[in-house]
Amino acid sequence: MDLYDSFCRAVCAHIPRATAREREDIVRELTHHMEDHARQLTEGGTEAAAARAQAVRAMGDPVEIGTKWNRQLSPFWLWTERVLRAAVTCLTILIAIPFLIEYGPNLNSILVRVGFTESLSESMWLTLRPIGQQPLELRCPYGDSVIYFYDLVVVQGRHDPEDRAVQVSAAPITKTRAGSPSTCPPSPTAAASGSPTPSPPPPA
Amino acid sequence: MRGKQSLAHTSLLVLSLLSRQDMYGYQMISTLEQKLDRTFALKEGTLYPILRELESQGAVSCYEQEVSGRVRKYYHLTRKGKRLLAEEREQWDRYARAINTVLELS
Repeated sequence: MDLYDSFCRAVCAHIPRATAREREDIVRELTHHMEDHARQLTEGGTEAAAARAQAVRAMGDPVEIGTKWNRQLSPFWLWTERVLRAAVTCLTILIAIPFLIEYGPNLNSILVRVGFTESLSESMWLTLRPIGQQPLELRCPYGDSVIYFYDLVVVQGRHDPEDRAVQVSAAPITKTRAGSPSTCPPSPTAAASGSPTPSPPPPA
Repeated sequence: MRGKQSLAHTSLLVLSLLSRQDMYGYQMISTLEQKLDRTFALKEGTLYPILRELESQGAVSCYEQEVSGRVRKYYHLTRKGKRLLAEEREQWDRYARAINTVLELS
């Protein structure tokens, strides 16, 4: 390891109150100081390696420097940084876990629901339960991709059996993964929803 | 007490240097060496905790400036630092006068 690096590490080891940014500043300032000193020595005729060693020696005891430096730093910013980091991490986990559980396997999927009756409201979709399922093998070219329709489920209202709908699961896939696309059915007038789909799309 | 005095004296020297112009760390050490003609040797690294202390007291502020492709951290004496320097200088003068008086008696 470089002489300057070793010295700076030894100093920083005794500045536990320093934040990551403060450590960077400390290392940069001390390194610049030693480089300046060594340059002055080499200009005076000292050999480069000896000049570097002398510059480090002139700095003094890294423990003493680190300890004195640490006394000048308030632990407030260090703890603020730690608490904020922990809070952001916890928040991210709290937000991400339910999202991944709900949508993780279907992030690449599209769910289309077509109601048999127009009276089906958004809230009623939540009460539907599957009564029949049919795997599909339908590919529809769309721009540079192909929309792969892979599952069809007939659903029925829990409270009113007259409330029925069909939900179709699809996934955009690249043309290289798709085979020759089938004929596209006419676009249904349907409500798109983020509810879980029966299964992720199998490879084409 | 002894440690406090030594720190105060080094602080006085640093404040005095910065009263003339803004300087970076090594420039201060180098100037001190020239002025003091090696009267006493300051361990160079100990300058930085002193600067940090003066900064937290509001006596100096710092800024970065690029010189010859390298970003240097310059220290600047603030108004508070100037007042502190005047106070420290006055204390030092009083101390030196007292010592001289005693030495002249002996």
